Amino acid sequence: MSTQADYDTAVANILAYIDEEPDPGKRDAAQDALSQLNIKKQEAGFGDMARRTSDLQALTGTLEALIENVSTGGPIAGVISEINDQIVTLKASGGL
Amino acid sequence: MKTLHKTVLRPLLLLPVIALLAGCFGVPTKQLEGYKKNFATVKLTATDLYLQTDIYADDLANNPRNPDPVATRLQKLDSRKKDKDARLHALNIIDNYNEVLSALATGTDPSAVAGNIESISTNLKAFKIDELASVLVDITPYTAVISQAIGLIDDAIKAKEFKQAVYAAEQPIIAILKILKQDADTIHADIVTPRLLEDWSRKHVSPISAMRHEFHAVAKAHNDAKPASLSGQVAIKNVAQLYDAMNNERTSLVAWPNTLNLKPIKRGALGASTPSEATLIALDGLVRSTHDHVVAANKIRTQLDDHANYIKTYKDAIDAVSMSFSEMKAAIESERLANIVNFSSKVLELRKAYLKIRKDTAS
Repeated sequence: MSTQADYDTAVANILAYIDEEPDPGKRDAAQDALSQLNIKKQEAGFGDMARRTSDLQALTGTLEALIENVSTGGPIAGVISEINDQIVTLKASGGL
Repeated sequence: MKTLHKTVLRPLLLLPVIALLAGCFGVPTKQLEGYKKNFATVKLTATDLYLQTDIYADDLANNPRNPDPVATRLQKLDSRKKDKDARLHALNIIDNYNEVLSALATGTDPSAVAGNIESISTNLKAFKIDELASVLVDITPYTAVISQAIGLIDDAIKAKEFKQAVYAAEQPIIAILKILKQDADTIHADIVTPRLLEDWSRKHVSPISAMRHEFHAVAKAHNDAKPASLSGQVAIKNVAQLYDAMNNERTSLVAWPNTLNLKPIKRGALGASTPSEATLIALDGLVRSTHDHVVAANKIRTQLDDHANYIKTYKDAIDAVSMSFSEMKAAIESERLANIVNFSSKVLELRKAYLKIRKDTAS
């Protein structure tokens, strides 16, 4: 799925085709094609979420370190420096 | 009497000064509570949203039209559940962090949440009031007053700890919130919408299209005359009226976003034959069935709109969390500048009062 616009166009075309096509077999085939398109769209969506998971886990880990740091009385300043480095890395990777 | 004056009454002279100092170093509790309240709303909604998304993941894995082999589907499903768990974990960790902020703000358990508060003298040095620290060492008769002063310093240190904790967490929390917003768009556009479209089109709109062709194939052969003999059991429309009714139903279907409305059926030239009552009843049945499908399809379409509004509200709530966090930070900054001035002047007052008591005691 390249873009949302491509998906929208494909959906509009298939729906219009199904309504206009008198042949039941061809209509069913078009509906099946639409189903496959929807499955691919969902797969892409779950894929996008999966790609964000590693960034999310890194950020969560940072917060956990901060909690640990505050609880044990460690120097927060050092953690802040680590966070800055982490955010720079995430931004550079396009994650944020 | 003089002893009593020295040991009890004179230290009491300092109390009004201490009272003035109390509360100088409060954290922005109003902003903290606002932020926590906003986050609680987001956490609740986010949890529901991710649990719903989990159901969509199950549905995709079990979809008989999914072309992936079963093993692949199960592998993907397992991975998606881990993605969901990572998000729920992140929400819990932010919640935990908020509790840490609350603990720092209230100072109810400094040993637990501010373990890096060092000795009082060190802290006094950090606040560049070494002179006061050295003075305090000598005034053993005024332990009660000193302890209150130390409490004041503690509060200042806690406020500093609170500020550090807020500043340290800002970037990770804002970044996590940004991911939640990205997820929200993905869940709506890429996970929920295609699933609803599948039900909308396969269960209802495809049948509506099929009935359009079935209807036209029969109706186009007939004219608008009514049958010579009618049973009279049902109100019978002629073919022209049935075309109108069918087209009304079709145009009542609310189009899927970014698609066109269904077009009316073009009747063309009148057919030659007069329809039988059975034919008209059959055509009317197609109109009624189309109506039922249109109603059901429009319900799904409403679900889509509702979900879009739900996501918009959720994203607005996430923005509110980000904003309230920024407000909390801004409040810390503005209070800090005021407190520096306030603290310096109050410490001087404390020292003057103490020196006055010392002088009186010596005289």
